[in-house]
Amino acid sequence: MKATSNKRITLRVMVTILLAAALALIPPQWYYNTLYNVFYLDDLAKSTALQFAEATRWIHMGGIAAVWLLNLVFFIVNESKGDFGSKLHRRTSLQNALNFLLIVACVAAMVGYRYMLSAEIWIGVYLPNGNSSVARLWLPYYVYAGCALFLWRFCMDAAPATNCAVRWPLSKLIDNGIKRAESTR
Amino acid sequence: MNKFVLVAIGGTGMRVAQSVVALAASGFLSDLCPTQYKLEIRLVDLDIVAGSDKIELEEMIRSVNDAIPFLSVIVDENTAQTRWKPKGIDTMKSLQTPIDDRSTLNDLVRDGSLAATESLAFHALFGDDDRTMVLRRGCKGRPRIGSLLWAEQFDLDWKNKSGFWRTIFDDISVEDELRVMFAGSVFGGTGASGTPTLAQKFVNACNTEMDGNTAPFAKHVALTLMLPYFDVGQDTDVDSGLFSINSKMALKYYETSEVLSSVEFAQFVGDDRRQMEKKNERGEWSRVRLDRKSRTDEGQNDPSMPAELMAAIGVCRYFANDIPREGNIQRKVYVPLRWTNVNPELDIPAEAAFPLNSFDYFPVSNGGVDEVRIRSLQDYILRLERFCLMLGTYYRTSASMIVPWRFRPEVFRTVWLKRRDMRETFESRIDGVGAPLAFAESMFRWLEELDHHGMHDLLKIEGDLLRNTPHIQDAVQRAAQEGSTKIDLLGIPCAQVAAQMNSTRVDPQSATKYFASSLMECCVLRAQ
Repeated sequence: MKATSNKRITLRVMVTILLAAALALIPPQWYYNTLYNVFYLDDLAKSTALQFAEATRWIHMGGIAAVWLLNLVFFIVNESKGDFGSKLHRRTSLQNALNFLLIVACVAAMVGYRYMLSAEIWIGVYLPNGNSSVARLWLPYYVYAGCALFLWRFCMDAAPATNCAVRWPLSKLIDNGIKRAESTR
Repeated sequence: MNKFVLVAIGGTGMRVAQSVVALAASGFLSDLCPTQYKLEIRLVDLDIVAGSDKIELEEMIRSVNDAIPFLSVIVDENTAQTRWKPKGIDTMKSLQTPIDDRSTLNDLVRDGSLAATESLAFHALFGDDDRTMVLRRGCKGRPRIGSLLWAEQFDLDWKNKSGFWRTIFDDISVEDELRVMFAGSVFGGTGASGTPTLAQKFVNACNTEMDGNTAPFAKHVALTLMLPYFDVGQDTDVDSGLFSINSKMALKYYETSEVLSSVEFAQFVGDDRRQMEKKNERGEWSRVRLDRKSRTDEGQNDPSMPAELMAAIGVCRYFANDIPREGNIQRKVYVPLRWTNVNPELDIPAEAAFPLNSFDYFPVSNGGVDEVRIRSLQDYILRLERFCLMLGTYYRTSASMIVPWRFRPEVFRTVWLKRRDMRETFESRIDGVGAPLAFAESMFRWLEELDHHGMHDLLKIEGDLLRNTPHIQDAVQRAAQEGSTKIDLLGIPCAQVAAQMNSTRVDPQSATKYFASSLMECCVLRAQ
């Protein structure tokens, strides 16, 4: 049982580390050029674009790391307690609330940084009008929110602590495979 | 192959047998005796009333045997050698006595069937009180009644090849080792008369039997003789004031007769005289009281006591040929009383029973090279208690709670598919763990009685209102209701057990068996 437990824990921690690393590093790389290129070509716009893109990239990475860390803390607590019922319910609710607040805080940090750079309106000044430009400017916000949300749900539903229910079908399939003993019949 | 037969005689014998059953279920006997063996319990008693010691023992054996398939799955190859190896009872047989609900000695020994001199002797030796006492609850401290019945009963039965005694040899050959232990009291009625009479009769019959070679089976016969270790109320049919004088007379008999020389080993076990109390239907402890005013459906049902556990250890050791030694010589007579006053000069009043606060008071080894086999009784007793608490209280409570499926213990999701009435499923003997639950209940009753009668410091079951300590089942139940694992299970944190159970591996074809066996595995205290 200890070996099975260790196997399940190791697998979950490794998968979440890999996923967090991927979500922290790949999306900012992907949207960096799209974001930078939407700004006008003048020096001021490009300087603003550079600062904004760089900062949001770091906030994204930090925010994803924070979500992973937060869930890791809950994972460790759950593993050490191995409890269920109302205790687990309360802790899960707290975990959900903290994840949500953390994501909101990170998006707020991005938005806050945008206003710290320049409080004036950017649309029409640093980048063209139009829905497409707005969508590209907001990429860091919703890409981060999306990635963090995915990581949060993954940590809680696909790779939770071993006392919690696995709810994603593929994860369940893998987990059930680990827990299946050889038939004695 | 080895075959071990415990012949439990009378109420005390039955309760010694209960402790043997519990020790076998805890794996103690299997660890003591690593070779294959058959364990058989034969019951000799007059007590036919439901709720008696005998009925309780039969139920206990049934619960253990029903649970064995659930308790025998090897769930972890790494610990297969050191795992909990429970043993059920291979055969249980009761001696059929010609007793019915109203039988008295007068009915069994009819005046018309006796010769004139026999009739005279009968009336001289047995007073009117003896002759009219209803036998349905045993001989009640009157060995003179039992000795008359058993001698006649044995001779009649031995003639019958499919009778109680001769069937002991049914499944063995002369190459096999047969060990027979007769257990009963020296101070009561049924046991005090039956134990020496039947043991001696058995040895003699084996040695003199012409029909078949039974002489080798007389080689390993032993006695467990219980000295007084309990008191009952003054207003009962059993006069416990006579226990001491009865015992003295019995010991004198053992000293002068040939009984001890005909057996291989005898152990005498006693204890401080503890007042017997039994838990009633309302969960209250009340003094054991049994007399003619008792309800007709109320049997002699006494609680389990530490002295019986001590005797059962001796029985198991004898079966495993681990007979106590002095130097290198096996003892013939052994008195395993290790609890003693630190200062023997100190005058301890009779009513103050010596506190049993160490498992070392129960000697399980000769020391030296044997010591590595089993170091202490502690783990065997406590593993049973942990298992009972986790299965019978913790997981049962969590199954009873109405919570979303995703907040159930993970092990439930591993073992069962999502279902609404989890308690019903859990307690089912088909889909759930009903059989091990019955076993856990039976074992916990035994443990709780030991706890109540002097072993509280070791088992920590009962609560204490003065110290605001709850009963251990209440504490575990409360934790389960909250979903908490913040309790200590006699040396193993509940969180550790729960965490391991959450990663239980199961074969879906027999998931509940894996559940129970995994739980057992978690309840064994291993070196951390």
